Amino acid sequence: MNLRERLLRHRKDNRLIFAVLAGALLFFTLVYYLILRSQETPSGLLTNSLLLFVLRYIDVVLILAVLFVLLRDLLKLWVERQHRALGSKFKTKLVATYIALSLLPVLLLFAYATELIQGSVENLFRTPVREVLEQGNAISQELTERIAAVNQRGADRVLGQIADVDLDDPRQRSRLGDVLTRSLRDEDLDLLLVYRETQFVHAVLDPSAGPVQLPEPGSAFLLSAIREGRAVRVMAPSGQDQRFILAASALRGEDGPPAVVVAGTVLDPEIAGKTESLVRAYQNYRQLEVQKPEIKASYVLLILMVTLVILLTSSWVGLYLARRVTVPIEALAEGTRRVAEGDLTHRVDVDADDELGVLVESFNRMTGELQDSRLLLESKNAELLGANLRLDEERGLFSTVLKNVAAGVLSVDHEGRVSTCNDAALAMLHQSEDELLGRPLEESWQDGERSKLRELHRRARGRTRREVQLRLGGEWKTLEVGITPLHDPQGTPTGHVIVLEDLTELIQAQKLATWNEAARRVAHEIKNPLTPIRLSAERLLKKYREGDPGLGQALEDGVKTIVREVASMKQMVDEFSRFARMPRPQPTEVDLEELMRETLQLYRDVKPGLDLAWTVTSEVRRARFDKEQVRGVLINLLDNAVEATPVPGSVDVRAIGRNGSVVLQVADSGPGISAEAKEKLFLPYYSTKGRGSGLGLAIVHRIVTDHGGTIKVEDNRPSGTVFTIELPQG
Amino acid sequence: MPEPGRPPALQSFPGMWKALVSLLLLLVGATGAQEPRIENLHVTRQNGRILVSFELLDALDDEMLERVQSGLPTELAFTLRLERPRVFWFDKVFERSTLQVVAMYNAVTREYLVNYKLDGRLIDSRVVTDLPGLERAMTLIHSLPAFEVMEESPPARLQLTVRADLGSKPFLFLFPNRVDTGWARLWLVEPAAPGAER
Repeated sequence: MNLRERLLRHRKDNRLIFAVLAGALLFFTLVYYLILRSQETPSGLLTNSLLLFVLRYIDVVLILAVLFVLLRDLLKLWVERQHRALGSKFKTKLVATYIALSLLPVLLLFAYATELIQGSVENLFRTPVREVLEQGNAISQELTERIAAVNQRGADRVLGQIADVDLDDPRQRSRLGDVLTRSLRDEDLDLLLVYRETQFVHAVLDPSAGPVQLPEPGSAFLLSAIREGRAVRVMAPSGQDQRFILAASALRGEDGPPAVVVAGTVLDPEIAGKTESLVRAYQNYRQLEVQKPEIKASYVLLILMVTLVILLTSSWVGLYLARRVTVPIEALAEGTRRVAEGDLTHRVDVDADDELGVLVESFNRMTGELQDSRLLLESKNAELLGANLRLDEERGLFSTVLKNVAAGVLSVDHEGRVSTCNDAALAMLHQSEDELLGRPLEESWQDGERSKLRELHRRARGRTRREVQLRLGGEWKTLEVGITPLHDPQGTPTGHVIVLEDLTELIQAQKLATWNEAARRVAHEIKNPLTPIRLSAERLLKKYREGDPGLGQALEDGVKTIVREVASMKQMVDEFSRFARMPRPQPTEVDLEELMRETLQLYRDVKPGLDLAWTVTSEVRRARFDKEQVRGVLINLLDNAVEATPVPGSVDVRAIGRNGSVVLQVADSGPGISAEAKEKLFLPYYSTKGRGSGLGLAIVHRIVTDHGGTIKVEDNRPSGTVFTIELPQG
Repeated sequence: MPEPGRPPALQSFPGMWKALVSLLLLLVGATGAQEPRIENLHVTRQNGRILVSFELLDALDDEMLERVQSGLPTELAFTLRLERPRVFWFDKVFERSTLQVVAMYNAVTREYLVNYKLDGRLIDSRVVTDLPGLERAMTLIHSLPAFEVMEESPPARLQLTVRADLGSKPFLFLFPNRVDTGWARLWLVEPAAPGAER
């Protein structure tokens, strides 16, 4: 987990803490407010409105919760969109869809349920119900009022009949009782009560009214009657099932307190119960009607509470599901961005066990493989870079060496175009870089002299080394030309490297040295026979002067010596002459096998015990060179080999093909040649035998060179010497 | 043809002129309607107690009377406080009393029973048979023994405040909105010799 992710997680934890603290603060604020309200609100109001009170606060809390959830996520989305966070658009669409999908049906359901409840409540208070109850109540009221009116009239009459009765005189109580009893019967009343203001005086009760207790109408009722002249009251004494309808009439006397007559009717308990039921039903109806807004409100609030709970749950679940989808996608998008920026160490760390989990796992695996590939690529690249650096160094070194080397070097591609050449080559060939680089040899070397090089290149098969004499810039040059074929790693020919070595000065030096040596050797060789000649001449002269009798013999001996030495000198001069007059090779088609057989036939019985063997492979049986000169070469080499090899021994001659050339090898099992002698072996007048002119191997070297070939001498295994001659086959 | 003295917009819409006048009349009518209030607040001292009298005006509207006549217990709650007027002091209330006046109609006997509870204790009960009597019984409070007189080191100045709570009506269907009269105030200059000043 990197620093950013740890900070994000830390921040998320803080937000959770803040959310919990905010929720707790809100909760305690509401509780505190509720406590304050309950203290300040009277208990009766609180009891009546408790349901609405609780429902309202629950709804408010739920609304705040829904708003908090929605606004929080919408705010986060808005911030993410402002910051152009990856996946914010997708998350917005998903969250909007979830909210819409949860809001629309819930709100529709709420609207429909609210309308349904309101309609149901309204139906409860339909006009027919109200009318029935009103009519019942009106009937009850009418009955009560009619009875009260009858009683009122009775009370008025009784008040008139007792006007002359002194209510304060106990002696007239009997008379009062008679008047009241008669009035009770005449007015069809159930009871009559007489008061002096609020002071009870007398009462009569109709026995047919049943076992009833006399009601106590109360001073307020009596005072009201006194104040107003009349009063009506319906009494329902507690603990009794009787109902009394009382009517009071008061008469203020001229002296003393006013008289009050209360006439009453005892309602039949059955009728009283039915009328009371009607009244109470109407009263209950009116109570419900009065409470109709509250009833509606309670139902609506209840539905609203359920709606909000559903909305809160669905919103929360929807947002949770949206997060479940968007969080991995956001992480993947972020991961893709990081990977696109080159951070292949990034891994998506999201808990998901569905298809998104598979996607995350695949992404991480892909990133891991990309990282491995990159590491491998970087490693290879570093290796390649190192190789290129080494190559550049080598190329620089090669270029430096090529530039400073004395030999001329040219490279020719497989189409025969010159791709590189150094300054030495340009100087040797007297050509500029423009005349050579990028041009085919046929074009660059088309003049007569340089065409020798072109022809040499054309005819080159395998490694080729020739000395070529060219007349360039008005002077002769002797160049040793080495042509080496180039191949790519697959073995495909890609061209040639041509190495030119200017041997002009070396050859001149060698010629000078050779002539020095030749002069020394000639002087030596001439001086050697001259000494016996001079001595013979001086001896003859002495004999002659002395008159020696042995002069004749001496003369004969001396002349013989002189003749012999002169002959020796002549032979030496002839050899010099032949070496000097060696003709240029005249190549012809030669059967090498036949040449080999004829030559070796000469040495069959020369040295008994010496094993002579020869081999010619089929591919070189037919070759083109100067037969007589090559025969001379073979004879010279065989002479030396046979002479140097002690018996028993062997001399082996082979002719094989190699890279388009004919290779002749003459190997013996003799004592071999020292390294010092090998270096001087092909110089004229050098001999290890202490006799002869020392021109044999020089002549061999000259013939081989004239044929465009090479000759080298090596040690044979286990002993002896091998001379290897390589001649172009064509 | 445009009428002189009338704005062109109103000339184009004759109905709008009438609507504006109607709205103005409604506003004037609404402003003219009397709010529930407490008046005639005064106190007397008797037998070591402060007797509070006041009158609640324009409180019993049709809705409340309808509620009473339906038989539902209907309550007016009066909150009485003795306050010490200190500006920078949170505990201003010196003493508090609550008077609940609960009216209940008996449709069988056609009587109104009015109960009086002081701090939750029933102190009086009356039966009235008509609406004027009911209104008087519920709104005219006479010599209510609300507070005991403090004989020992009473505060130099006390203020009596009275408020009537008339119930609650929801605002925007959800938020409870208490309906009350606001505080009526009366300065008690000297507790030992009670007198009223506004």
